[in-house]
Amino acid sequence: MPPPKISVTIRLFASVKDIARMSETSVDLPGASVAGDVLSFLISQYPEMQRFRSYIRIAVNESYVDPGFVLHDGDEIAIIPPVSGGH
Amino acid sequence: MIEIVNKDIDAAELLASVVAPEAGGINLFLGTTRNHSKGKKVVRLEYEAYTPMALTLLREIEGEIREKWSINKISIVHRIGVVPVMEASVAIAVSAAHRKEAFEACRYAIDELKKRVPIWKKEIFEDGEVWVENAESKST
Repeated sequence: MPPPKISVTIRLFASVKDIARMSETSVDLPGASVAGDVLSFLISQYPEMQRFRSYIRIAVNESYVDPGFVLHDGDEIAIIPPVSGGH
Repeated sequence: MIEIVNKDIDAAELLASVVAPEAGGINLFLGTTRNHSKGKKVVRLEYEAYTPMALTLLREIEGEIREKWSINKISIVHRIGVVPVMEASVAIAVSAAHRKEAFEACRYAIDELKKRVPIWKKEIFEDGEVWVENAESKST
């Protein structure tokens, strides 16, 4: 059984950080939440982030994960907008 | 040597770090701040990193290179913060017994860095600024 709720840290960078006007926050989520739920939560708070939805990547504890990755209490979730460019 | 620094990159020091008696060639790539982007004048760039994850992924890239090519040494340094025009934001040096491996490994390192290492670039123009979003990194 998953716990009734988990507490996680969310880290924001670059354009996403500018939209939220913060680089880090802690939130409580329902137990059994997945990485994609964090993005949905952020978009609900900051609708401007919607434009990133299809190509943002999520890292949990410094590794890229799929949106369905199950979160645990204490995880650090990083919202990774497209990285730095050049070709 | 894998580092993220908040100061000038010393290319000579980077080269010295990969010199090896077994090496027949050293490849050095420097990514420098260009004074223009999409027709606009760039005043400076600002880089931001998710440093611990960026270092982990740079080491992962080094591991992949060592599996693919027979190289002697590799160093990767990325600068964060403000990087003025003409100065280097990233430097990669690879030594190998033969030049083919050195060139290919160096190319792989910069290409993979751009795809997956969490470092972001903001272009500062005379009349505004924008975070650069790399199409290459969107696909995975």
